Amino acid sequence: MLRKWVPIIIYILSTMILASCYDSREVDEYAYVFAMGIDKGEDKTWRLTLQFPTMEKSAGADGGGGSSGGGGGGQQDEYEVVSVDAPSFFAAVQMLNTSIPRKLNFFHTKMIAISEEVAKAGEIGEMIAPIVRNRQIRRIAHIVVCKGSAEEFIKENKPVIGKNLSKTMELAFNESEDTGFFPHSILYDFYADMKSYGYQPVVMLGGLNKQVGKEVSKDRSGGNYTAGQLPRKGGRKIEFFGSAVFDGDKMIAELTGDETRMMLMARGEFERGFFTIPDPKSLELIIPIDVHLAKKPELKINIQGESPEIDLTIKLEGDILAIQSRLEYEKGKFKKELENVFAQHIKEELDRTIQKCRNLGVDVFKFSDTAIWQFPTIQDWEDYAWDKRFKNAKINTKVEFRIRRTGRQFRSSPIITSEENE
Amino acid sequence: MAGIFKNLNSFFTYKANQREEFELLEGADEKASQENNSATHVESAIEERLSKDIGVNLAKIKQQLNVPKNQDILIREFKLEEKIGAFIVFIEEMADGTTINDFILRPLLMPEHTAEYLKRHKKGELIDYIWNNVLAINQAKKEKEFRNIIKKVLDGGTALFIDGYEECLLIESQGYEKRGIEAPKTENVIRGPHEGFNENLRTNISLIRKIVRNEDLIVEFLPIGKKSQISCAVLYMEKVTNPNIVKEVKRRIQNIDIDLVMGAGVLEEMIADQPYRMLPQILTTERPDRAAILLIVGKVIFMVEGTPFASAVPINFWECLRSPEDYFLKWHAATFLRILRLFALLITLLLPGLYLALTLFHQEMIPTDLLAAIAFSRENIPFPAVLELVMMELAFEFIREDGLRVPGILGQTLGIIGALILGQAAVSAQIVSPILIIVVAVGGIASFAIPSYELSFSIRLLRFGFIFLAAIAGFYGISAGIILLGVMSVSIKSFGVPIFSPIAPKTRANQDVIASLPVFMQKGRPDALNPLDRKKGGNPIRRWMQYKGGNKP
Repeated sequence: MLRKWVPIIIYILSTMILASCYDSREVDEYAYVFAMGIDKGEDKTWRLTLQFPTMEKSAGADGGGGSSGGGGGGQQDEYEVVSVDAPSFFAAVQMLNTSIPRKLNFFHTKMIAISEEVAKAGEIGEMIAPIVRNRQIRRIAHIVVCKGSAEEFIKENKPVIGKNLSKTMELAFNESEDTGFFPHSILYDFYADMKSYGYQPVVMLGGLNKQVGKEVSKDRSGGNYTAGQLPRKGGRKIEFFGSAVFDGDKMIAELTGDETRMMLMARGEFERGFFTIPDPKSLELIIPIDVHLAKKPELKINIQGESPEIDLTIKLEGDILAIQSRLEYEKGKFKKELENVFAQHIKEELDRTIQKCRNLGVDVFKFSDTAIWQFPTIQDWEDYAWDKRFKNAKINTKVEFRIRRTGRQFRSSPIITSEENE
Repeated sequence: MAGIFKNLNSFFTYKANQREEFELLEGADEKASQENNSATHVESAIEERLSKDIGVNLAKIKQQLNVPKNQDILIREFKLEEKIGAFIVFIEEMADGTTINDFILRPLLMPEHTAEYLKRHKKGELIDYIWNNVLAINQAKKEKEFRNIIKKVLDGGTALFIDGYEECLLIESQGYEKRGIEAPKTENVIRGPHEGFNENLRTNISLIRKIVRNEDLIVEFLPIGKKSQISCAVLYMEKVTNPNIVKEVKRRIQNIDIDLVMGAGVLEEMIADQPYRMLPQILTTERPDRAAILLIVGKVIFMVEGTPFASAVPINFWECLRSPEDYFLKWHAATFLRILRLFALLITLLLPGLYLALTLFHQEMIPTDLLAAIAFSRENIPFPAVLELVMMELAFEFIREDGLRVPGILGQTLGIIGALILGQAAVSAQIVSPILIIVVAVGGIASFAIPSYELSFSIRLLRFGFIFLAAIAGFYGISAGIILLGVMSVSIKSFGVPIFSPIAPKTRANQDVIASLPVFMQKGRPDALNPLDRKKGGNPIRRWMQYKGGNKP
């Protein structure tokens, strides 16, 4: 009996001693950081801003009872924002832990906002190092470059519908797939892109809207803005629009919403978006089109010459959303014409974006991902120095567009007014 | 010191199992099991034979049955033809009074019945004459040994002793009280028969015979218990069931040395291969139709007098997830229900443990909103999650146990109190969090979806093990537990058949393990049983499919 049980007891004890519950924590012993902001602080320090729920109101159990006062639009003080100036990330966490009665926990961090100042100074690399090494912060956390101070930005991070901040953030980031006006940048990609020999990271641009609602739009596309500039009123102050282009860990330029779409198209990551183009027949009117990629873009890259030669073909499909002029663009010759005009429109836009990035010398289009296949070894690829040669690359673009559906109408007919009848 | 190292060493090194184990091998040597068949019977003290002197016999019977003390044993002395001494013995409650009065005593006491015989022969074969010409009873036999006579009397028979003979006549006269056939209590179905076993062994066998009308259905009776010889019936299909299984079942049942075997539950524990393991190794059913299906498939069934259940061996784990309802439903529904039950089993086993592991160790795996909900609800709870969970699990077990114990009408009250206390009061008093109640409740509900009572019990017990493992080591603990449980479970055998048999080890399944194929595709018997006849249906079963429009039968 003893012979059998002694080993079993030893086994159970060793299980408990070696892997026991020393790191078990109850869920309510943690403060879960939902958003994190990084600024430059005073005197060569970082200013770390953290936002976490205060767990003030009990969820669900006493539905709409007592202090919460029911209805929407109530006070949004369920979240606390704290800032600290500290020499390093972990120093900041420890410093904050002394004042916050619960242990700060980064398992559920959804957003890392970096101020434009830090980004432009090229110091993200230093700040990101502990963040990528920390096992608590997940690499699917979204990374944002925000205009102005990150502290202010985090303070304005509030839900506008409902009271659920995590859902608000997740859905806000998902808008990237629906509009294409900003890229879906996560920590994993950002870190990997920073280290890449070929392409460079692109990060979504966030900003606080001034809420003036007056600023005149620069053109009719509706996308020629960057974050913070949208002429709107109401809603959350936070908005994501456009993207920040990095060279390594240094932010060097901004792309507007339209340019971001082109960049995403060239990468093959463009999901869908509404485009507005002038009506080819009556230029004061517009035609909005719901556009998505028909296929992954086709890339042919010739690396024989001094600088690479890139042929990019983008195939798009779209649905007509409206025809203001009520001309029959749904079929025949007019349809062809509309397709050509739109393709031309996209091509011009695309060329302009590519031109801009090429002048900056950054390959944000991930062309290098295709080019790298032509090199037998990584050493060859690194020796080729794509990032240097990209500046002189010859890039030919081709855009094909096809109208698939026409919405609920399959024909247009003019509106008849009494004046015309006479 | 050296002892400890030796122990540790023996713990980690493999040593072949020394114990000889029954294994059901393909074409196993039959001789080996034949040896076992000549098992030693439980020897009784009564070995003597009857004497010719009726006085000696009477004294012996009185002594053996403790007659003056034992007041319900009746001995009726009388004289045949006014001169030959005779007596009958029976037990008041076990025997049927009408039978004895009208069909045994009355003919015997009428002199004209035996007068003719006594005129012709002096004495001779009077017992045979009585049996052939006098008694209006359907069943009787001659017996010489006291042991058998007493057994029969205790079973409700009547023994007729006649002076001058070394044998007596054992007359069938059972007539004790028994419950009628009622609907099964634990295995209710919507479609299908509503007949259940009762406590009477003969009735139960008749219920099975009624379904399996085949001369190959063999019923063998084995007495078990030293002090009370309760009879146990072993049923199997000759030419179908592997004879080695039959021999092994009989060997085990016959070699039980105990005073009383009270019902099948005790017997099962006595003859199970690995009684220390938790998973059931014997399948019990209350339904004759299910017992018949198990018989036809090639299993051995044993039933104990006084237990309204039939037990089948060898079984596999998957059969414990099968409900009799499955046989009466279409295969889609049956498959869905099987998967549902398997899922319920996993939920019962793991859900409380997973909840603990997630909330204590792996908060990153919980969706943020759910985490927030859990954290909100736990905000004011004064206890650690483990305590909270164990508390609620115990409360649930209390309710379940009480529901079994309290009489029907009170049961509802209990349910209301339980629901009130658990559901409302505990939450508003902030002793437990509402989410935890959901976890416990779902686990509890799921445990009742497991059709096998034994399995459901072992799973509920194992659940506490997983709660413990999750509390000390999170997912690591749970995975270690699953591995341990898996290793221990796959080695369990039910009469030589590994209980995870059609899946681990892989054998030719009979298309009815988890996903149930349509009935007409289930042609074979389970391979693991090594049946003598491997097919239970033709190829194809639906012969009519072969012939177009009434050309042929």
